[in-house]
Amino acid sequence: MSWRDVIVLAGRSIRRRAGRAVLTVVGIALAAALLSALLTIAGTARTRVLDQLANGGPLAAIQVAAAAPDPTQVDTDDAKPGPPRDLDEAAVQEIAALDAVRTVVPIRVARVVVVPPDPLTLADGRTVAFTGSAQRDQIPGARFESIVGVDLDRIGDIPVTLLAGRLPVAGSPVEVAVTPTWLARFGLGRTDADAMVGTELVVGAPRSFGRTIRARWTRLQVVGVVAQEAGSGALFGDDAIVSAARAWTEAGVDDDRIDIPTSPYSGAVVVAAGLDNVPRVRRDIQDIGYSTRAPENLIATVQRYLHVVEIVLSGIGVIALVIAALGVSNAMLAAVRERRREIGVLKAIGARDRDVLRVFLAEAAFLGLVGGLLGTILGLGVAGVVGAVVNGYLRSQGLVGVRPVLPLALAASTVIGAGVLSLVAGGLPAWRAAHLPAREAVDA
Amino acid sequence: MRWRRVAAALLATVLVGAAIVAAITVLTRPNGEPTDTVPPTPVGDPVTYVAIGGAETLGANAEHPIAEAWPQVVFRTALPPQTVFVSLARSGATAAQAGSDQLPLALRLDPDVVTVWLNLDDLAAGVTADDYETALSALVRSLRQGGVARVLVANVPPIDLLPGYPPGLAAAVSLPESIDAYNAAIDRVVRAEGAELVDLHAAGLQAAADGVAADQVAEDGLHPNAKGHAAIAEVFAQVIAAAPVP
Repeated sequence: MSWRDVIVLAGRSIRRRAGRAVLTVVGIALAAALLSALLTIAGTARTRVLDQLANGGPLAAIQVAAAAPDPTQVDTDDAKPGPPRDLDEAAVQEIAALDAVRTVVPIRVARVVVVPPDPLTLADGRTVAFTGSAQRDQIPGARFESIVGVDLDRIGDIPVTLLAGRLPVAGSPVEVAVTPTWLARFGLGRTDADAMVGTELVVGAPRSFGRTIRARWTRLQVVGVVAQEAGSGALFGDDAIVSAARAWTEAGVDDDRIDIPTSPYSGAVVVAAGLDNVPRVRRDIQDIGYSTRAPENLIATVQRYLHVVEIVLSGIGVIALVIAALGVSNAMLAAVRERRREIGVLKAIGARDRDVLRVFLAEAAFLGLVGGLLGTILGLGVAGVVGAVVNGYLRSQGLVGVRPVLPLALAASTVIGAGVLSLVAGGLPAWRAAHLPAREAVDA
Repeated sequence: MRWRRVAAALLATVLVGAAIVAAITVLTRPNGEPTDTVPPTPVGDPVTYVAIGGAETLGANAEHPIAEAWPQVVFRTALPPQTVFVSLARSGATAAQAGSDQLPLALRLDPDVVTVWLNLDDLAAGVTADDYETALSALVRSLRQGGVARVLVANVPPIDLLPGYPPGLAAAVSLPESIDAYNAAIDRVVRAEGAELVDLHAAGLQAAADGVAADQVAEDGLHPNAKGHAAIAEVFAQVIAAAPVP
């Protein structure tokens, strides 16, 4: 019997018992849906939790401060820095040359005067007053803020999470993002982040000429709101902006009224080649003489717990699939009993045992594959709906939402796995049908 | 035929499923991804603007000089977004003093646009029109020879009409005549050096004729308030807009 005949016979059997076939497929689909939904949700939660721990940057990122390490803090995730120590290009190159360091992104911070529109008209038409702090009156109508500058071409290596709008274009001298610290100057929270996008700031780098302080003013458009851990500052932009500001300030004379940075770099983000190398790289950097921070212990602990959760959820899904497979087995056994005469006729006209085996296995595999496919699609849909509900809640809290991760490998595995499981479940009934004596079957 | 129907049914199932997944993907887009974002700001060549002047350029007597002084308003409203602005103004600066204090740093900054408003402190210091013209001419010439493409020079506004100058006082010090002499000197310097005149005198007369001049002066009756600075900035802005910014 050719494979085409096998498939035709299996198809005819399914059509003749369409109701039973549909119920069997539904059982497999529900089980596959449960498995794929649980694993998708688990994978999405894992990504989101780890992303949150890494503050939007790579998991293997280490923050280096322009400070010596505190010997009492070297093994802690959030080590407090010791006394200041200049971080210059030579030090950055020395760190970059370490084993297991993938990349180093230097960070510069400048102290600038920011003139906010007061009251501020937000993009949605509301006006809010600049509440700032007591420091506001030191310079009427303005306040000192820190602006953090990085090479935005390497933003993927920086712990930055976009809350609203977009990131500044790399190299742009006129675009900046603000942080929730800036929102708070106007009494706004993260839920108002969208409203700040599109506003303009006038920013001045101060320089002392002795008695006089003159500022180098630029206009910066707020294009986004970010949460960032690269440096302490209310503004975040390209290194070009900060470098120009610092160059102006540093060219002035010493003056107690102005923070003139001494360290060429304010810090750096070092990305290790893999999470496993983070402890070693941290030790090496500390040996060079700089303080580091990295949530390595926290990430490791969380990953272990997430893995346990994934195992449990997978187990639940597999149990559901096994139950569905039992349904396949039950349906196939019933089919064998009902088709005894048909089996006898097939054998009487020359079908071999393995031909009968193939017919029933093909039927089981088809039911499993169709059920697996439909179930996987349904499961991804369920995960999407759950994601939408979660996003609604996160947005209401002013947090970044999640995007359900659609793993193609998972989808393919679920479909194929359902097919294979059905094949296995249908194995016994198929074997029994194949070994049914022809005379006995015809006489049934 | 049956095979085709089966194949068509399977294909339809897969396509419907893919469409559902795609729809879910779009609908479950997390927040923080840009939907209505600010388009990239087009940035031309860098522009440097330097303001040279005295107390009025500093925004003295304004409630918030950093935000309200007319050069700040010009910087924010009349120049391209990529402009860098430095004010070198110094309270009490005469044209001669500015030539020694402010001019060297201005030239080092290699500006594209410079505004010069130096006359009120010269008047207050009793500098003669001839001496004033000499100092102003040297300053403007140095700027032009130093490569500054656009030098905007403001003349003397009709301060004799200010509430802080009762008519008797203005006449007693021959203020109107001094203003006219200074403005004539400024006209000559502007023409000779290829600078651009910012006619604050005409603008002030117009404001007086329109009855809005009093609204633009601070409580001391002499210095501009926020509205006054905005009006001054508007006059400068009109001159800037009359030609391309380099």
